Amino acid sequence: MSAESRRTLAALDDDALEAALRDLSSAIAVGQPAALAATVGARLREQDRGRQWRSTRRPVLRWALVAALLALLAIAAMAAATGFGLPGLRILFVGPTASPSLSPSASPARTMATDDLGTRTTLEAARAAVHFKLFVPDAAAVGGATAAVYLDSTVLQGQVALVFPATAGFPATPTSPIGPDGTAVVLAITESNGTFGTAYLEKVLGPGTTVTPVVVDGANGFWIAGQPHQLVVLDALGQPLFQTLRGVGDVLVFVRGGTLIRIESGLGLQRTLAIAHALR
Amino acid sequence: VEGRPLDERELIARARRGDIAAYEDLVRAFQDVAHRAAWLVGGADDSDDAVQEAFIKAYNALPRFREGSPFRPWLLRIVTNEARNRRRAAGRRANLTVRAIEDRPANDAAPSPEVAVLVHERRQALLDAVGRLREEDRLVATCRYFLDLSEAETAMTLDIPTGTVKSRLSRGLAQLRVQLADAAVNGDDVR
Repeated sequence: MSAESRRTLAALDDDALEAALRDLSSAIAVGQPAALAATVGARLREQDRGRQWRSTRRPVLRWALVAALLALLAIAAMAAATGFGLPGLRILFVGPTASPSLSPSASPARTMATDDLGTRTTLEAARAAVHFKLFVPDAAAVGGATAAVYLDSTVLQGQVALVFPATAGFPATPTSPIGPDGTAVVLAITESNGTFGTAYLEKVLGPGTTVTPVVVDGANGFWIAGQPHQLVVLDALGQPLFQTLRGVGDVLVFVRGGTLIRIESGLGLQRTLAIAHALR
Repeated sequence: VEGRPLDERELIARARRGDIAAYEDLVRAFQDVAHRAAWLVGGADDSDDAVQEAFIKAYNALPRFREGSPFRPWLLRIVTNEARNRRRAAGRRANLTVRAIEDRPANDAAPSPEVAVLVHERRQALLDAVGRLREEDRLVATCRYFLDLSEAETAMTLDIPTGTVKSRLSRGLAQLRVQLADAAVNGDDVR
């Protein structure tokens, strides 16, 4: 850029800067929109036909669901009989039971992914800014560690991340990455208003990951092990939202009281479930 | 009156009852602003697909649309979310560019080539500076200046209070001025 242009831009006061931005609007190269109405209409008609087809088979589907539920209950009973689980928690294992954990030899110099983390704030400010109940674990469950709180206001109805650094009472695991403040991160809890769509879960997970359905205090959830990098959840409008995982470890995701909760840690399933149980 | 075009509320009411033809009329009415929003938020690569998907989602969400409230910001909320999600998923930036002066509709006499070059580089520098704002500030600036939405519409589109729109806009402008001043002092492009 020429020196003259630099000087001109630097000399803009607020009013002139706003005028320049409005002038810029008409100069931004935006392509021509495609004629969408017919395409959208065709997709919606196809969708309606699909719904009508499904509605004629609803009774059959209902019986299939009942059968699936009975099968799940049987598996739960077997899990309980073998002594698996924590007090107050019922864990249903469906599918693979072997969860690959993160390699203990992972480099300790890894840094936590901070994409979409938002801005640092206080717990009180975060609570005031979001449209859902924000859960925080009991101090005892995290060895008395205090979380750094981040708010991402670009997510519909807000998203809050609680990042727990390593302390003497809450030591780092071999997979703990280095956080934004230079200390190892043991645990990252991310909360927003939404839910998860099982149809999306496996689409973005790599081949080295496993997804295990779990039940956390009566709520369905998933334990995702094996270094997942990205997760697709549904936001408050039911739209898919791609979330960048923090690289802290394996992931437990579930919904409590309308709040979508994602816990990332290298602590393993049982300790992560204990933290989930301690959320208040 | 026979043959008069249906207004927005009637179209929405019909679409909510499953009248897809009425919804196609809504798509025609709003596709330009939807496309512009998707392009500005998500970039060129995926904007057509993002808009199409957003219109499908908006149709399916119509039962949750509050009757009597403005449709445009409600639709733009879905469009911008879709565009932003796709951009994030692809791990890319919007990377907007400014049209060359000669490509623009000729309203006035054409500027000299020297002036055209200066105007173009200033606009591109300003657009690049907007692109470096924090996402939450950039979205507010995009709604207010590039989509020409009011503060209230911006608040509805981004699902934030109007006070937050004002504070983010003020912060964004301040950050832009810092960037432009730094560039002048350091003799460097805007950072």
